[in-house]
Amino acid sequence: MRESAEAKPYRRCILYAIESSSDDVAGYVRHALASVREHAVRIIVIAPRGMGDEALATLAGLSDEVVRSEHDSFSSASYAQALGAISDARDSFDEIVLTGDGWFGPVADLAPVLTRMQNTECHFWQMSPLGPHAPEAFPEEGFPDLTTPWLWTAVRPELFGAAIWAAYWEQGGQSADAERERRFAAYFSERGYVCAHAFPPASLPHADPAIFAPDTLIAEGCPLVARTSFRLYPPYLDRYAVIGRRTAAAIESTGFPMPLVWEGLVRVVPPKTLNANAGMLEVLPSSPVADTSARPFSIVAIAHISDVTSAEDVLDHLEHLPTGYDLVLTTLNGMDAARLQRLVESRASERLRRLEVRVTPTGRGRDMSDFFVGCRDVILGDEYDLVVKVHARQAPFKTVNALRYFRRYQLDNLLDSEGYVERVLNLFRREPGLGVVFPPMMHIGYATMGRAWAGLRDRAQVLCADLGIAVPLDVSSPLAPFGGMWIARPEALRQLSERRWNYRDYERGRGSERLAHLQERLIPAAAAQRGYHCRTILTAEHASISHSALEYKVDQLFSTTRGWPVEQIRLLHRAGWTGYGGVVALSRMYLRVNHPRAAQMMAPAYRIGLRVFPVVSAGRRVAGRVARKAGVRR
Amino acid sequence: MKTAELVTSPVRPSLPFPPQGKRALVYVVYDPRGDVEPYIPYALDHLRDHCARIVVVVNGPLTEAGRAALEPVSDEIIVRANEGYDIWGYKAGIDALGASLEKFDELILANDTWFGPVRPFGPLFERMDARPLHFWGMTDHLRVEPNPFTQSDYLAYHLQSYWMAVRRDMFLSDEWRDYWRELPPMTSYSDAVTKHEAVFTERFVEHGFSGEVAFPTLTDKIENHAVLYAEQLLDAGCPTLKRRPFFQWPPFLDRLAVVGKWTLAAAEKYGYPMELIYRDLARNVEPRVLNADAAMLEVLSDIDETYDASRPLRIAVQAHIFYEEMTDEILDRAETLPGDFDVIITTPDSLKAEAIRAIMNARPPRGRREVRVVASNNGRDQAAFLIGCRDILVGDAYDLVVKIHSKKTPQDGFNVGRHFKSQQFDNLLHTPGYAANVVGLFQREPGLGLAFPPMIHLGHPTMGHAWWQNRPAVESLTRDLGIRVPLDEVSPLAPFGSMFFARPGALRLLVEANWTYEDFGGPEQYLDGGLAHVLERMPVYAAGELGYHVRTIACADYLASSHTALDFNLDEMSMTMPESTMHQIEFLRRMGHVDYGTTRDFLRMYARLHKPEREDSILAAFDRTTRFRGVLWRMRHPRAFFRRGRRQA
Repeated sequence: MRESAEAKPYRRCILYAIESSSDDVAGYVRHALASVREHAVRIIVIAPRGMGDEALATLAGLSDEVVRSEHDSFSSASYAQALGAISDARDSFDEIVLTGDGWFGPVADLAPVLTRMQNTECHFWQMSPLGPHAPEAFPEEGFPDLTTPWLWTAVRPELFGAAIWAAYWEQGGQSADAERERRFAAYFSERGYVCAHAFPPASLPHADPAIFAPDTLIAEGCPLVARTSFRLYPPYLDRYAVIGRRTAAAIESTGFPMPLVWEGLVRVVPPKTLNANAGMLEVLPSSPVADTSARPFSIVAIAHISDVTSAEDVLDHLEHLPTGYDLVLTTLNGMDAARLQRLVESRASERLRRLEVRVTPTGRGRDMSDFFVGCRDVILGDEYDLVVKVHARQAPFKTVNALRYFRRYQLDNLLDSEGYVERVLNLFRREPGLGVVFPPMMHIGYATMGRAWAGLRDRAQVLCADLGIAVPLDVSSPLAPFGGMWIARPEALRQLSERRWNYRDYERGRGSERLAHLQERLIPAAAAQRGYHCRTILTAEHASISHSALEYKVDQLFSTTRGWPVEQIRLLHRAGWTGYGGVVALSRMYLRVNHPRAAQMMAPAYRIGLRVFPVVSAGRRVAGRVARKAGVRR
Repeated sequence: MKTAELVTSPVRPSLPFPPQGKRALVYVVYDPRGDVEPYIPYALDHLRDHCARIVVVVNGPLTEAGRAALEPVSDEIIVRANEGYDIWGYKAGIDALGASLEKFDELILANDTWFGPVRPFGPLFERMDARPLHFWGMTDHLRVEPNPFTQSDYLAYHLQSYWMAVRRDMFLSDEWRDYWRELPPMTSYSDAVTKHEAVFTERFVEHGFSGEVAFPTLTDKIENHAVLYAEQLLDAGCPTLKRRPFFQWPPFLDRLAVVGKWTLAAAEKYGYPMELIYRDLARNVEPRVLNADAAMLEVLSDIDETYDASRPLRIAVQAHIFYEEMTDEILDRAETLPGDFDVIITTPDSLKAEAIRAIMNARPPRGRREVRVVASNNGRDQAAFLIGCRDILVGDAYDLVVKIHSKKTPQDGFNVGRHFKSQQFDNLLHTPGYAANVVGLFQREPGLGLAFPPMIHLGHPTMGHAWWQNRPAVESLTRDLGIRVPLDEVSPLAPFGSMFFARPGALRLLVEANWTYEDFGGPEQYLDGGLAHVLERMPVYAAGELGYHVRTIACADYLASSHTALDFNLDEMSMTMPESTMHQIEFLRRMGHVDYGTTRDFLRMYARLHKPEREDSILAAFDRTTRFRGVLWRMRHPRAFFRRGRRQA
């Protein structure tokens, strides 16, 4: 047994590494640093090279010293650098902790755990066991190996005073950076050093509980929740039934401030991935709410109405907003404007406080340009807590069914009934960091699945860089209010709305061609850049319709490949573009699956084939038609 | 109403339906069981007011029960072989009426492919009777070019054949007589369309007869309105609701944004007895198809919104408890139920029974409580339910039984196992409000047979494969039990996990099969193809045969995780294929199983897509090269070859 803590204050030095550079310090990092303060005689923050000055100043205020890393983002070698920085005082410490911003917490009191471990005989200890291998990476899908700061590895003088310690850091521990933390325990155990765990493997259901059973760790009293658990490829987590929504609920049940969690996730996890990993969809009842005494919001609805015959539908839905909302209608000509003005006045709504009708130019970005340009003053002013964006656009090419489903899907899922709207508002009340809500991507009547970027992802990245949005973007489809209707806090849209857009930007043929579509697809990323998260919302009825359809389609689409969805998806991704299963496509798929290197070599030839083949086959079709006609005549 | 395609000139003179006129109806039934679903007598009963003579033509078998259903609502029943589709059925009816047709002013040819009247017939007949014309149809279909059945020429504008009314001047004409005399044989659905439905209207318009349509096409796009715009047709006053939108392939309707749930809601709003629709669909449509087409999933809230406490149901909770430490958890769940309920716990031995009793007795009772020791743990919860609790299922003691058990699934890894358990418990008995809403469903729908969670998929590779090896055994068991509900193709609709709410009556066919514990066998039988796994997949089909429909139920919390995962996975899976999900499914399924994507697999896929008739010979040729490929491989990998050689030596 060590001498009890009271006899001599325990001298703990914490090396806290930051994963990637940013201009400010995330709330959960500040919270974490403040919480460990009382347990450490010295806190060294290791900041990546590109960290902003303001952020460095904040970190300096929360620690004893900030070490600037030589790397752009975290690398285990950064710890060696920090260890070097404290080498003079090293022998005065009872424990050196290697940790960083890879966890949310503390979700339970740190003191009892630290005290317990202080009294545990060992040479080093880790908070919980780590699996021998890093979770699988899916680089093609946008999920390369994650190299994150270590969770919590505490080292005692017997180890950090030994020669092997210095040697270890010089050699890099003989393992890849992403796996170094995981190999650490084995490396030193094999060399005779005793390892302990605050939450030992025997009491835990999984070899890698921090990632695969985070809620069980929380239930066991573990104060740290690994952020990685929300950052992996969703089908991979699905494979192991890691249910992020359950983890989030477990964190919330400890009383930990959830805004810190969401804010800590939105900037590092692509929006659709986060939506899937944390199950951020809310199905809300439509029945009346008993208690409506909650603090009222000041709300403005912005409605672009180019299809005047459908205006009533939109206005009816808006009447589910609480009393006192303002309405800005935009329409394309003075005649319609007058008609709309009369229509709204004739309805004599008691809930509507103020109406304004604006006339906007035709055909340039429609509802999006009307919102970002035509209502710039409304969304940038600070009069409103929430802005509701809806519209009734003309859609002459859609079938009546498709158009009807679209409108009901969008309007019902935002404004179904008074009770429903009240519950949506409650989401905003409960979560100050909730920026935007909108229904999930439509998949009934629209061929959106797998291609909802509509070829705009590269453009989106350019625009993000231009607007200072550093949030990673999803690879396959973005999370977005497809359909252009949502409810948002105006501040959450600032990253997009502050730019002085004008109607010319929405014209075809200009640099930002299809700007309306881009803006629509970047709303969650823009909100995330400001620290806001999004949730998707559905009525029970639409949830039923959508889920039944999804389940059937998934069952059918996954029926010709084997294994778990993650394996089925990977096989198809590896095979690549199927086209219509022509000889060229099949051969290429065969090569990509079985001989990836040959496939790479063949790629230029394939690209030529891809160009030539349609021409040839079109030629063949024309020739065939001519021949048939000739045959008929004969 | 006239449409442009119905205009002809010169046109023969025509008259309105006379004030005291008489109408004959030829109604064609096709029911593979021959039982005649109750929606048919309902329709005929309502047509009775408007038809002096009703001739029912039954294509195929007719059982005693079927005849009994038809007799009160018809004047003549003709049973014929199921040949030539409904069209030849019409001909048989016309022939049977023969010369007596002269006594009538209008003849209606209708078949059983619609539910109705959803809106009343009265106003329809009133409107059409006033029109001077020779023939009229309920709905029409626009001209399609090229003809989708033949890929050439065009499919003519036509009045749809499920409802055609013909006035006296026309059915006494030579043209009419010749038409039916020369009616070509029809051996396929496309024959019925291309040789009659799409011919009739054009032919008689050309002959100068004046036709009209009661409910012309609603939009400006070429679509099958009777099917795709069923709801809007009801709103327009149409009495008939086609059955097709509820059994057509879901991805097809999905692509066209047809929402069957709204159509049903409209039918309900107009007062049609919904149990007739559900009963027919439950018996005749693949349950998973129906579940998707009509969105039969209920996402229930934790606020009691529907339960009627003044009409409580008599509920029994049957819980098989193997892990006695889960007794409290299970009773906690059971106690979310509204009102009183009995608890019948089964367990495999008396030691466990004692422990369970002790735990149970420490809690205040909400009804009768019983712990039974079952004769064997063979078949676990399935056998304990069907054999050990047979008495509670056969009598009339209960309106509703809740089957749950102490699930741990220790074989599947911690997360996966506990997710399966919570997926079951949460979606059945989440909170008191939720459970009340589930019971409320059964109060509202007398034909609701079962309610259970949607198919488990997080952590489980069920999507696309949930029959596993069990389909042949399910097929043979359904045959033995006289179940003719069509089996789903890809995955069955089933209470995976074997926990559900059920009306005992809906399970009758399974209960009456008189299982024994020997049938189930020991733990070694607890695998795919074994009776327990077969029975897990049976309840929906067994309930359907008796006319009970089923719903899947989910709580908002589960739905959030499930929906976001399905959404993400489908998106990822679709990335490499063009067009809509429907096309992608068709493409993958045409190509066949990808398996491991080996050379042979790709060759097979190539053959399926491009030379389907030569698939076998191509693969056989490939198999003949095995040896040659082996040699090639060894030449390419000499070192591996030698290493292996050494090891063998």
